[in-house]
Amino acid sequence: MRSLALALRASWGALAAPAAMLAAVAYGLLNNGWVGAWMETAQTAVNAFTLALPLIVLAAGLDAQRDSDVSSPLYPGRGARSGVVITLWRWVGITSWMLAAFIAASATLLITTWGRSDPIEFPWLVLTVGVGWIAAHTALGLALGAYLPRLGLLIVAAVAPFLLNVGLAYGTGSPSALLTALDNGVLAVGTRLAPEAAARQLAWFCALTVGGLIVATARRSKPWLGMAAAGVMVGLGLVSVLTGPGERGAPVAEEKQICAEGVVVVCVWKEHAYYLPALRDVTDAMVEDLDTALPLPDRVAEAGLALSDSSVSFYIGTQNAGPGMLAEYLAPDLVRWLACEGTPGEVAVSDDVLVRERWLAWRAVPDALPPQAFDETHGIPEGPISEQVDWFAAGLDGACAPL
Amino acid sequence: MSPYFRARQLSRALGTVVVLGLVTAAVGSRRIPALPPGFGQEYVPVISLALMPVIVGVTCTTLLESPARTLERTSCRGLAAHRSLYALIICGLAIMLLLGAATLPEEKPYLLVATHFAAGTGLSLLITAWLSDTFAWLLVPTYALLSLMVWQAADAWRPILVFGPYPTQWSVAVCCALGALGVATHVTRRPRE
Amino acid sequence: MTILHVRGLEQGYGRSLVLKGIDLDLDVGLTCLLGLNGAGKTTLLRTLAGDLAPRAGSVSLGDRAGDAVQDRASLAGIGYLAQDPVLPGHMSVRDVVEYAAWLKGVQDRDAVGLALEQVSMSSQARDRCRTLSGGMRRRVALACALVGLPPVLLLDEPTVGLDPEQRLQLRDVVRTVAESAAVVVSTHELAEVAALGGRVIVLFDGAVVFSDTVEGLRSHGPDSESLEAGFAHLLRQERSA
Repeated sequence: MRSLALALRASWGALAAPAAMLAAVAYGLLNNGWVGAWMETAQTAVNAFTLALPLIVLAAGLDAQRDSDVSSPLYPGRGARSGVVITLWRWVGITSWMLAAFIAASATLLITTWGRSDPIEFPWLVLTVGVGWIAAHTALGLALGAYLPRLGLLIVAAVAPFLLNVGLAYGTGSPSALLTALDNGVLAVGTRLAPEAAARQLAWFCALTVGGLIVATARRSKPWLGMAAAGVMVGLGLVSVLTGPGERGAPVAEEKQICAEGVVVVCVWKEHAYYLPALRDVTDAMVEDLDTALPLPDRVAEAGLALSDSSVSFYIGTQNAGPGMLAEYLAPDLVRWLACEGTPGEVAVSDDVLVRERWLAWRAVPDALPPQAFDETHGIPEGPISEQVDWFAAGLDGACAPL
Repeated sequence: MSPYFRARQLSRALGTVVVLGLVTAAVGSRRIPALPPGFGQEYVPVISLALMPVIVGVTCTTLLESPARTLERTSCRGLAAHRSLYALIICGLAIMLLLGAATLPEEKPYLLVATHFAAGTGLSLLITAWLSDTFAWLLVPTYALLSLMVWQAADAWRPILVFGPYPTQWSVAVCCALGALGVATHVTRRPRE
Repeated sequence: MTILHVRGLEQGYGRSLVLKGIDLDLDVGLTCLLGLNGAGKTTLLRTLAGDLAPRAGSVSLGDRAGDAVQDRASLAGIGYLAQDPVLPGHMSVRDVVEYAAWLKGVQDRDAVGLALEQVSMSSQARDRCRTLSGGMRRRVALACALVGLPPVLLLDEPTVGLDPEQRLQLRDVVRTVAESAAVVVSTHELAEVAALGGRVIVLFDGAVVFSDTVEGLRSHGPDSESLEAGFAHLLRQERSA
């Protein structure tokens, strides 16, 4: 315990961890807003901590450079401890600080979800992958700090984590996207991190961590041997990730939905229960009066839930959505269902269809811009609702291209 | 060559700025629409437009730092002219390279890159007037956070968050003022203890 | 002949006052600045060297009007060896001393070679500073202070890190320079003071409490036995006061 306390006190993490935590919380809460479901929130916490990765690498690098001058009274080369022990001691110090910051930031974001959303399952795997990614970055920081001069460390720490993470996360569904914990899509509600993908990611992070620690340790004895060993570790890690499928998300084991009766039945995932009243109102306002001209669906259900033939499926984005945004999410899918009358099909994107999507959204949320304001060429009738419904139905006639 | 410049490894400093200019060009040349909506829209423009110029600015500050502080603090020679010239060489080259890098992608207004460079250099020079350069580098994640926050911030907040990725007359003026203040501080103050 | 006049000098960091109204006249010759850790020795030397701006009081050099440490031209006449000299590791020994000469406005082309010779570093003139041992770095820093033979030389703990032979050499250098300049050597080692001789100034809690010769300090004790006894007696007196 005394060694751990010393490692914590000696580490630059004491300065970097609070800054990293504040950055992640500020970004997670202020930029993305409250995202609303446990899996999404956990993934947002991991993504938000990506901002702190340069700080993590820099702090670890500075820890590695501390006392590296032979004139320092604490120069490790003169100590009784082996290089392995000193490297591990430093890694434990900086990693503990950064994990504490990550846990605090994740907890802050998850607490905002608490009370408004019941988790389908707690996102342990997502958070564990985040922990692995942070541990790998502290090891990489130690390795960089052991070799690079001060200015080189400062520049590489600032640039490399951003470039690597953004570059790797790019291309959802490809195995290379699993090389980072950053998720450019963010796992949607009703999905979880696939255990097999998480295991491969963690194996890769472990390989990076061990490789980084070997390189950092070998600095004073056999740098080339260390780099070769680390190369083997990293190569094995890469193989473990790149030889499997790239899908990160998997459906949750048990479907848990919650529904509300209105003009049609509206169902969402249990975690999104707080959207239900607003969504029912939006749906009712959209479909009200349409039954005079078009057949209506039996059910409007959030993406991922089981569907019958007469169900409309739509996706709620990861932003905290108000009625206006819900109407914008729902309108295109409802128009497609109405145009195709429930049969599988696609609606070609045309001005005729787009103006009808906006008309639907405007009916649901009258505060939104009325379609007449942006398009005067489609002759939207301003008379009784029955005329408007007829105009709406006429525009969808023949718009569906069956699959 | 004046001993002032010999003490500063001019070729190494210029090489560092050139390498960073090339990295900026490489990042900026990635076409934004090719990236997926979430991170493509948020991260890449912020990194290439705001963060890289700031990183170059902080690097320039580190290069401008005095290599022999006590000697220069107790010098009888006024060094303001030398400091100005050296700052002009380093920052001038950086501005040229960043503007060159900014011409690569289609979406980039040149003014934005120079604006963020001015802000990054000015702020980090002000920090290093009193604190060590490590603290100046903390500007990078802070700047990234501010830039990403302002990316989706409400319009009302943008004039206040002057470091955001959108250039406004107000933000350009403030960033240039920060740059000028930082350089003036560097030129007129003796190296910190 | 008095070279450096110090009047009512006050200096501090933040709210704490470290030097409390120092009055000094430094003549050609050797002066040892003696004091416990934290007495204000380094702060006094840094202020005299122009490294810190004084809070109050004045420092003037020779017959020059004005404050030496605020008039940059006067700083050419002051050489200063810091307690922990930091040298640019990428520069060669000669380049560093040449840079110091340039900063001091020294015109004499032979001055750099002479300074290196005085500290016995001529043979390492091409070596980079990062390859030098701690003692060698201190000697290079001393050469930077000596270059141009300034009329005032301020040395802060100059013998720290030097081996016994280098200490003897340094003492010889200091004695030689002191024949034509005012040399102030700060130390907390009485053996160093005894070996160097000359005038002794004792700082206690930011004030000058003793200014006399080594013999004077020795005889300050109750039985005039040793320098240690004299110094200890002086400290007891000051503490009780």
